[in-house]
Amino acid sequence: MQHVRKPAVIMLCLLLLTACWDRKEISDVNFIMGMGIDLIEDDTYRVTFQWAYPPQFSTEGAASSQEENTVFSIEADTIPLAMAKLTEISPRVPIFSHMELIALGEELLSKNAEDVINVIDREFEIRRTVNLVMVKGTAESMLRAETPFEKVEATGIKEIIQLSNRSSTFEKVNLNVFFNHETDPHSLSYIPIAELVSDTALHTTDSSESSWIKVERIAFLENYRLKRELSAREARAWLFVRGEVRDGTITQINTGNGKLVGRSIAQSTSKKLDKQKDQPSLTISVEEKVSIIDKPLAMSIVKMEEVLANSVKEQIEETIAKMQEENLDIFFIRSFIRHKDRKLWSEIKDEWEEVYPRLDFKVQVDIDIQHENALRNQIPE
Amino acid sequence: MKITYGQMTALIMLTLSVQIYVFAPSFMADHMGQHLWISLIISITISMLVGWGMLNLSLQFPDKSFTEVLKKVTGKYPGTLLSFLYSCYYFILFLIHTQIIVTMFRTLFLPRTPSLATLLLVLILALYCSFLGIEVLARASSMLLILLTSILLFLIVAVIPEVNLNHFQPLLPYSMEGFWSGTLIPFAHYGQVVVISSLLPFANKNEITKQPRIMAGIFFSLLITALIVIQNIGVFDPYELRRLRYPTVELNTLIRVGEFLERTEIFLVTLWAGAVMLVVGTFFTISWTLLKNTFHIKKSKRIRVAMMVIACTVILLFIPNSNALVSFIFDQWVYLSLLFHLGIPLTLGLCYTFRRKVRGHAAR
Repeated sequence: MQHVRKPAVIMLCLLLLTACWDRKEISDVNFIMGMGIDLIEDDTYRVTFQWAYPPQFSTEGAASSQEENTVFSIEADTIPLAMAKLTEISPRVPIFSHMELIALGEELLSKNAEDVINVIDREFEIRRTVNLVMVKGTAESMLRAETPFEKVEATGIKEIIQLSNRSSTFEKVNLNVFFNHETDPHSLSYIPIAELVSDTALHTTDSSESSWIKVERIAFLENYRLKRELSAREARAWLFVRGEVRDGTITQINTGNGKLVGRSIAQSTSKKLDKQKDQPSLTISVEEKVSIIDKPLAMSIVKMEEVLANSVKEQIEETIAKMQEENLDIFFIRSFIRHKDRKLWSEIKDEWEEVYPRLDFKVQVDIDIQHENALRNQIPE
Repeated sequence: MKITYGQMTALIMLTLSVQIYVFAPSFMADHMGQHLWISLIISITISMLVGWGMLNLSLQFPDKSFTEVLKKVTGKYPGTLLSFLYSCYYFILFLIHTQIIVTMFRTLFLPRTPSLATLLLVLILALYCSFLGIEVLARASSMLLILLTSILLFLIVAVIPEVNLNHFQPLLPYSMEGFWSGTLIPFAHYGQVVVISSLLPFANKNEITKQPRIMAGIFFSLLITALIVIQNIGVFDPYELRRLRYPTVELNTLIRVGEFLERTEIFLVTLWAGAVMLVVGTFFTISWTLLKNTFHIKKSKRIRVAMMVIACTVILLFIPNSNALVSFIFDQWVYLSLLFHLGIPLTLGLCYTFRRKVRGHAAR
């Protein structure tokens, strides 16, 4: 009897262990790389999927010279329905675990993207490392446009966000960063903005014909709704305050005697909270190490540092004043006060709308010129 | 053949290394916010004291099983009752761990695989473990512990770039709100250190007891798992952490080493699943051993199979999904487990001290 029971148990275990119910053969899988979501009517979404076509990545070149269409759009009332409908045209099972980008259309974010983002949040296949962008115009046009070097636009945009950004006008945002801000009741969330430009110059275009993708600036959201888009100058000031200006960022100033051009080497920021006569004040100290690319003749290092510092200070103060006027806490001051001084926060949190516009900001900028790229002698005329 | 103290320590460490970071971080964040590190320190301290006490108490009766120790310390009938209660306690832990692995696989990795298939697999494995005995499980635990600890350490190190230190501020709380309920949660996990008394009878008595090493091993496991819980706060701020059902799995999905090493969660999940299955087998074997010793059961196979049927029925009826499981663990078990983690150990300590004093007084 024993000889019969043991193999029976082993066979039963083997049957269960195979987990056939969830098997996915690699040749039966459609790897979705990017998803663009647009709101076309009040309750109708147009969801654009972009997938990877493996022969395109072959080191021996594509099997055929014909370009493979890897983008498809579906209209549906809900995102899960659109995801399900994709199987009507895809002979392979779509999986989302390798997705690199979610593009949200401007119209969708202007109305409210809560339902859409909640669906994305609940889909475990979609990882928290997926990048988010807001698209000026439609997300579909973005996924049907082009990025240099990359055959899959979703990957191209992800690479622009993660590797490039030497103009320092945005910050990469993945789902994890987004949700950390969105779920905090005292914080706005933000995502970078992507738009289409002509493939011959960085001019914005409305057409997806011969257009490339540009990522620039930051959009702020409150409760999944678009609140404010920053201009490139404001976005740069925002990055200075956060200490997130990237290595290689160029600052150009017309001094009257010629152009002063500096390139950032490193940047950091510290904030200090003070309270005088029940009135909180915040000191923002910005430090930047710079190398000089171009400068007016006979301008000393001390003078250049002063000019650069004044320019950065002016940008920051101008942006802070605007945001105070609009009562928008894009610098996450509420979270900062809550973290640093709980007592003060409990006193002012209910009156934040009145406190923030009156909040006293002091901006200090310290520029340290590390070198002047002195490869050539400057000969006076 | 007996197991060594090292193997016993490895098995205890493994039982303490598999559960707390699965669901608890979210609930601790709900009670304590970013200050959950305080409740972790307190619960680790109390658990170490309880573990040390139970170890020393068991060492006073080197040749006795845990049931016999209970009878010696509290008397025949109270000891029998306590032994039965502890058998039930380990049976509940067996149910909890079984359902944790079943629901986790169902929700995250095998959505189309029927829960019953995974459940039956785990139960059959636990039954098989009980036939093999604690000795075999203890020997298997050493290698699994090394692998699990390595992958947990890797997780801690790999996610450091995602940690935002601002999430921990302000470091100290301004009030005690949520403090005690927040501390009960980690203690419901770390208090499982009482398993030491049930495993000690299987250890080789001829080996010189290495109490400090045993306690150091336990402390190491508690520390590693506590660091993972703390890291959850650093990566997801308290508001976000409260929303997450499986925060450590999500933490794991953030690991990215360059462009070439992604989706490392499969290593953690595979090793974790192996470790949980071994822990499930261990808890069932201990529960069965205590029941056997309590009622002097001789013929055992049918009873063990019957226990499996009961386990399957209880799981399907009372904790059939992750919502019911989480609700049971955090609404009921955290309070009920206090009896086994603190109430009975304290009573045993007092009884033993009292009896010893009376005996000393009588001898004089």
